[in-house]
Amino acid sequence: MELQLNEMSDEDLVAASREGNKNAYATLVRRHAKKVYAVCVGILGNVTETEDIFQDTFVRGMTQIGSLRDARSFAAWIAQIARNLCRDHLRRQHRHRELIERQAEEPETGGGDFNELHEALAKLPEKYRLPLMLFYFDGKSADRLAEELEMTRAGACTRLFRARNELRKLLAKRDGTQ
Amino acid sequence: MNDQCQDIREKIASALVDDVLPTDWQTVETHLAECPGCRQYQEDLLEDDQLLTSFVESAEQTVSRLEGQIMESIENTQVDAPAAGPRISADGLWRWTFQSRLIKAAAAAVVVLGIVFAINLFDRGSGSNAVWARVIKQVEDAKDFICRVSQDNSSSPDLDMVKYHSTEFGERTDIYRRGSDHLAAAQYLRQDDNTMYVIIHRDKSYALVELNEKQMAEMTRSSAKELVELFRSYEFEEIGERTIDGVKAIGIEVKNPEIFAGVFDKSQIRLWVDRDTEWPVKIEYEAEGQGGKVRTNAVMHDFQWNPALGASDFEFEIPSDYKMIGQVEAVKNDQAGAIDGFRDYADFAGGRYPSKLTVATAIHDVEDEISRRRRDGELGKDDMTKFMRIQNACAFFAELDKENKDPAYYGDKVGPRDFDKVLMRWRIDDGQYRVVYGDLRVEDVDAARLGELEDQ
Repeated sequence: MELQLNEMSDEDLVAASREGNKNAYATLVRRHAKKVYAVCVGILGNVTETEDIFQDTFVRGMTQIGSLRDARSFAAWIAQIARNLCRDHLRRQHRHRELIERQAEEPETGGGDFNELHEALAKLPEKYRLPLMLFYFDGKSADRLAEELEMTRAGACTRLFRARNELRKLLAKRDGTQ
Repeated sequence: MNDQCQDIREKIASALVDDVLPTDWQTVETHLAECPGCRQYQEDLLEDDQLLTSFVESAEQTVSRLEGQIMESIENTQVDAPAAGPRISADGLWRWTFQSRLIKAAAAAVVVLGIVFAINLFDRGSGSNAVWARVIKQVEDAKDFICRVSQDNSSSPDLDMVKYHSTEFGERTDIYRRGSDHLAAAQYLRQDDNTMYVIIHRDKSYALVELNEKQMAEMTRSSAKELVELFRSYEFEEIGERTIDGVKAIGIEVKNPEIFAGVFDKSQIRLWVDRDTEWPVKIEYEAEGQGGKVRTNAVMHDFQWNPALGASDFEFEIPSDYKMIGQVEAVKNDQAGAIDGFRDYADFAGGRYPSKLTVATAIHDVEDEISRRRRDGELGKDDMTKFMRIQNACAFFAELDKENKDPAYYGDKVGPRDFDKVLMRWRIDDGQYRVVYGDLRVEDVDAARLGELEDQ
């Protein structure tokens, strides 16, 4: 059964989910989780808050799946829900500016071996952070990144190049090498 | 760093994309052998790439853990299945559109009536001043709310709705046919372009309703001060205490509020406020038109005040395969708009005007014609757009009545061929009246002449 679900298209999984098949929805979650996570961390820049919004995204997707009319576009639809929830979250907390300031003083890293990276990502502007996250979480494909950002491939590569450079500067500051 | 270094560094970064080396990678290696700055850049970049890759691998474990939590969260969640049984047809759409005005008005009244009630209590020096002061403050501070609406209609399916109202983002109403969990339709009110969309999922269709500035302002405002100015003149009766869902509530009743003028003939609203929490808990409204033939009873309940709604709660997309079945233009609440409305309505209705100048009656009078044309495939969206211009005349008449300009309407006896009979008239100046004849000519006459015309 599991194998069959994994082989099904998004369209068929959406149809099954609408009929109450939660295993089908679980397959959709697994299939698109990394991209949604990338969107959340890319916009929020904070792994702790990302976990909450990430979960909210898929729970909301489940409850609203009846309103998804083109079942083939589940990936874009669920990513859009994630974006909206992230923006709402930031808006509600009036955090666009405060985020940078607060995190500069009180880094909220989420722990682990990536504290410095978390801090650097938090300070990285969203226009660079989101492409980086999408690229690394979604198979390092420039073509998919370009599609996601609605840019040309060359434009996406340029954005990625600048994002790497900005990230390097932030990491270097943490290292004290700059 | 010079231009060549910049070029080389772009190539180094490119090599990390899709793990493909540029065709001229030899040039890069030659440069790297000579340039320590670019060598350092490459080392840093590879280190960062490894760091990001490890971060993603680590995050994948987090994602797996979260997937499990997600599935636990939704284990008991009802999946929204596609609309199967419920049906809101195009025939019902227009009734819908205007019922939504009723719902909207009632939603506004939830806010309004509490305030008006409170102000009147203050005027009387009531001992419950402090309570109502707090009610006012709460309602004033409430920017958003969610509530359920259960609506029984005499000539269309009974509906259950969930309404999301935000002063910042607009309003959304999810519509279900009674007894079904399937989303049958949804209505979105957008403040950015003064439009209302009614989306009928079952039919894969939608309608666009344009609103003028005034309508939009009335439909979206929740600033207590503005609302008080609008409805201050309402007279109400206190209707005592009642227990609602285990809550002790106090109520008031308002009869025929002007917000329903031009929509229904008669209406009354009852508001109930929780004595302890001092929030409105229920509002009941009853309205009827066409001498009682068209009736709507509704209850608004399960209010959630300040639920922290966000933009995503009000965003929607109309799928490309949905068909627009009608566009209702913004109401032109003036003489020219009214005359356009009469002309187009008569054209649609086979040479007659509405028997009474309310939207409910105007729709009711042509329901058979709408059904016939729809059945015969003769009902285009332009036809409906024209027909619905009668709302211009309804709104204009209601405005004249509100301004005490002595309006009268004789559509039950006068048709387009009655060139010498008064279809509608109103006072424009001392002793002068403006008359619209059956053939839609306009003339200003004195009271004596008006008397002669109306005696015919």
